[in-house]
Amino acid sequence: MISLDAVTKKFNSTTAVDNVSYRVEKGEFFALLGPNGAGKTTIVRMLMGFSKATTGTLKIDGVPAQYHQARNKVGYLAENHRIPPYLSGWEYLLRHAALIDLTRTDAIREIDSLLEHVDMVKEKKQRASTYSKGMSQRIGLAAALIGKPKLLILDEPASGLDPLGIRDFRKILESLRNQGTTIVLNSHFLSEVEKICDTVAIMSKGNILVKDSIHNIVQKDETLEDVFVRWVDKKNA
Amino acid sequence: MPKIVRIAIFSLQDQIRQKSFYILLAACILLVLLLRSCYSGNVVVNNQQIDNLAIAWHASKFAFHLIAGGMMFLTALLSMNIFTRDSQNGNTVLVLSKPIKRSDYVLGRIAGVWILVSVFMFILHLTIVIIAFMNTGDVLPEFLLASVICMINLLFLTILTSLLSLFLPDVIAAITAIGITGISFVSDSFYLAQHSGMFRPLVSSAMENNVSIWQVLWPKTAMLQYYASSFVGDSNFNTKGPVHPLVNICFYILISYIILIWVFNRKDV
Repeated sequence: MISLDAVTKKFNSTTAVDNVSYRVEKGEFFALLGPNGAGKTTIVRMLMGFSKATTGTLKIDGVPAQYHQARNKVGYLAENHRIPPYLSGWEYLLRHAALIDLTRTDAIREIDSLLEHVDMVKEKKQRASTYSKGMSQRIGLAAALIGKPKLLILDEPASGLDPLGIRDFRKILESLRNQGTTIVLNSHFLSEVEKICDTVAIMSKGNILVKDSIHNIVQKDETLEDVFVRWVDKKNA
Repeated sequence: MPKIVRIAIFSLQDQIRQKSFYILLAACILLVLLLRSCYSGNVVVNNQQIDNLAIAWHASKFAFHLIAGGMMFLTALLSMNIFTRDSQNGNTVLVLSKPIKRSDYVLGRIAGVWILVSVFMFILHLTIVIIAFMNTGDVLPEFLLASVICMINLLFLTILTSLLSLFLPDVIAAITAIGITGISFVSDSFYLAQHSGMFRPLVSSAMENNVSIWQVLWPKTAMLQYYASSFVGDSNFNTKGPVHPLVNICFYILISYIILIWVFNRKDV
């Protein structure tokens, strides 16, 4: 579903991503972990076509990521997701639906169902300027799910959510995984990642340190957090 | 519905929700109220009463230039932050995370602003036609054709300001675009004055034909406006140099748009 081949991204003299290659298969739940500045968001932005790789290729379903066709059936939730303050959550979701050519009837039906999923039915007509960060994230998740995407790319989706919100969010992701949606998740919430992901890659300073299934990476009497700290410390040493 | 049209509609909706739109609306209403009084005056020159039709004609022509020039200024102000504001409030990510070409996004955004300012200008010009008709009983349909021609200037200003805003801070981009138009107004007005009946006897024939290359090549926004106003009444139009202002502005629209798309396609959003 996703392939990165020797991808490097440089910002002037800084190398944000250094010769990274990996694949994410269809139906896989993949988590990209790493400390701040590891290059996770840069990879996601390149996958979404917002930024171009200095060298190397990124493909989604065989289509180079910089082509707009690559984003057919892709749902995306950005880190620090923002909604135009003058729009209500409802209007914002309608815009998303309009841009993927859903008919108004289908859009309304789907948006109503998604708003129930993310528990934002009561607040749907409020302006986004009145939303808390958690509420914006919920609307952002609903926006990413419009059109039943085959690939979901989520960059720090749990930031701003309270523990109950995180639990609800995990349930939504689990149900999507069961439906066969491929999910790529950037997150700092290692305990959540450990519960729901199939495969993880740990990044630091632009490099992939390890990529394997959760079961192979996390040994007995260990948590994902222990593994993460061990690998990142080794890189920094 | 094509995605460009959807994006243009979003752009219109977004502009209508901005404070700047209401300032623009208030300024326009004030202008119309002020102009209304120009038509109902008793004007005496050298003890001779000037007839209402002549007053209405001159007032209408003055109003035409005031509205067209003012709208260019406002277009620059509305266009200066199309992409910056979109980037700040999440609209860029909203659109470009979908299977939509960057060029469609740019075209949709520009079309939205251009349609808004063009409709505004047309309504204001139409209001002048109605006021003139109510005061004189004379209809000036060529006024509306002139208004449509001036919309080409607004398109140029929208694209130019958007392009400049990719390199410069928003306000500086607007000031630069207004400056380019301002130079055109000074240069073209001076040229037209030289060729007017009033000044022609004072200007030597060598000076009259002396047009430097930069004057020919400079974006002729003012000259296009003068060309449009030549449709109102029986004015003669003297173009400056071998290039018609319509060709000149269309050329600049095309070039600015190509550069805008080229730059935006390479930009990190």
